[in-house]
Amino acid sequence: MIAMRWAVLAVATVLTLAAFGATGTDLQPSALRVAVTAIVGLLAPLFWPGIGATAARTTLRIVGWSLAAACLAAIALRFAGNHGQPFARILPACAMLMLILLVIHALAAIVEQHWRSKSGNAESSHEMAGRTAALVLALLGAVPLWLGPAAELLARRQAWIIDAVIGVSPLTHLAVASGNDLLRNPWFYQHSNLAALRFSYPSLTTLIATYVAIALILVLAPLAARGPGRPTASTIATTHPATEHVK
Amino acid sequence: MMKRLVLAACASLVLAPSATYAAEATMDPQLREKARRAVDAGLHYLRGQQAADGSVARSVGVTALSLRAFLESHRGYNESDGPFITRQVDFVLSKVQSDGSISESLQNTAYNTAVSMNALAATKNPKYESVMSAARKFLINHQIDEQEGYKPDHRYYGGIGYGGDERPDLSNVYLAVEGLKAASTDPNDPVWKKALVFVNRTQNRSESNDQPWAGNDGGFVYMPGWNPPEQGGGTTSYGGMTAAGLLSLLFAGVDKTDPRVQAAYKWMTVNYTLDVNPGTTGKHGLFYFYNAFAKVMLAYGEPEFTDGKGQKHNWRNELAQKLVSLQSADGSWANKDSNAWWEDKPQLVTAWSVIALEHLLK
Repeated sequence: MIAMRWAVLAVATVLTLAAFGATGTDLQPSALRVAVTAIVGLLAPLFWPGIGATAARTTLRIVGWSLAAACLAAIALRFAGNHGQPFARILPACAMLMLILLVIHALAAIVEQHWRSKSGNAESSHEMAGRTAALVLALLGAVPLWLGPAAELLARRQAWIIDAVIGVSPLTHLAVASGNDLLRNPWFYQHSNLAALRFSYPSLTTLIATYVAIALILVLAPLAARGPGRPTASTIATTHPATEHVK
Repeated sequence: MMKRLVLAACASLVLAPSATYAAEATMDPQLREKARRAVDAGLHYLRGQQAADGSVARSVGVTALSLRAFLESHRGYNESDGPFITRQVDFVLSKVQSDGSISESLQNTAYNTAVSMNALAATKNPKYESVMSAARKFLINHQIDEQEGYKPDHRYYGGIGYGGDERPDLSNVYLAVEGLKAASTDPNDPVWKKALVFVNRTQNRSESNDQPWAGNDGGFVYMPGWNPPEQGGGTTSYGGMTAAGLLSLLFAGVDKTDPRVQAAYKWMTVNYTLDVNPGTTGKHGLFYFYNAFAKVMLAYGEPEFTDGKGQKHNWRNELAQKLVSLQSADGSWANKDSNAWWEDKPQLVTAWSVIALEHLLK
């Protein structure tokens, strides 16, 4: 079942990349890395396989699905564009995608578990969790666009606000790992008010440390709290039909 | 390289008296004195902005511009004048990267490298020849060409962007060719020809621009096919880029009589104004324009011109008057009407304004 989900994600990724013209010659290699990882990153939570019967299984799915999505991005990058990208360039971008997805899938698991225990409906909880995770990712990714004007106004007193608004976006994180000056790409330069202002991107080291810390807390805390083999409260009550296949 | 630096130094010594004569002969003496005092006050401000490590505004680019402002002033500052110069040099040198670029981050790598090359060249110190040579190689490698999979018919071909591998623009190309010229790059190096392919594609002149959007007023746009939103987008020529385009043509060795140069110069003079960025109704990038305008008018070498209304203008007097009138009491300049491209930052704008004044005083 996981393999089927991965295949559908792959098809969706290829179609979206083609629709956005990501194979065109105008897209420079670093921007292509951002585009591919961002598209896979947004689509992956929509195909989130759902929580497992135990905390350990849920953790396995979070890690497994995040890794599968990151690998898909790496494969797409190897073959997309004018010529395949070197592995040394692909690795940091896909590693960052993996870290982002670890956090976002862990959040999806928490949301799914919470809604399942409330509503008792496994299927709708599963779908809603994936959609919510994708929506959160999209909203956070676009923060420099929709919070940009407010940040510019506030930055007259507090200059750090611009850096904060840029730094909170997962799209920025993918760009930093891809070696791409995100706001100077043509689209952002034309549509973001922040592109012409003074700003700094967060450092790669800071980002990795932050994501690892958050991911460890979100992924390992439930394990430590419940023990790996014990069924989750929600899964005792109901079992998601779709997840049956991967047990 | 050593020979080139020595030759460049000798040439500047030979040219210096005639250049000084140009400003002396054509400028109002009182205004000339005011401009000199404005330079002194600007340098005083910049000196006060230096951090302990020699940096200005925590930026390689701004520090390099500040350093250049000191080194090209009528005071004739050089490294023997003390730490207020050498600390800035040391800060710039501390940001030399293994790939030859001179920058502190992913952002603005090419921009910072180019302005640092100009500053280091202004030291006239042959000690920095290896740094200059590596920086030159970085800029040449950074140019978009076959190496990156682009063919000559691509609109990005020959261009240079801020850094990394992002899209090129005329502003960065102009700064890069200025840096390459300061580093005495071989005039036969293919980098010039390739740069001209890109520059041609940013001029509104359909005879030399193969892009479908090209108009025919002779002015320049930011990139082949578009301008930044602050300048209204579209493909309308505007002052900052026309000065940058004209400078790029001249730095790349295009003759003054070339129709591309003539068309750009005509646009500059017909649309002349110092109140806004010419060709726009706003003040975005106004000080960038003043800086590039002073450089291009000096490079073009005409003391006076006639505008579109038939009025004669002495560009030195008028630009000096404008800059002196905009200087704050503390010696700084800043764009009070726009924060685009850091023009609200007094350290950057002061360095630009001082360099502009230094050019008109030549």
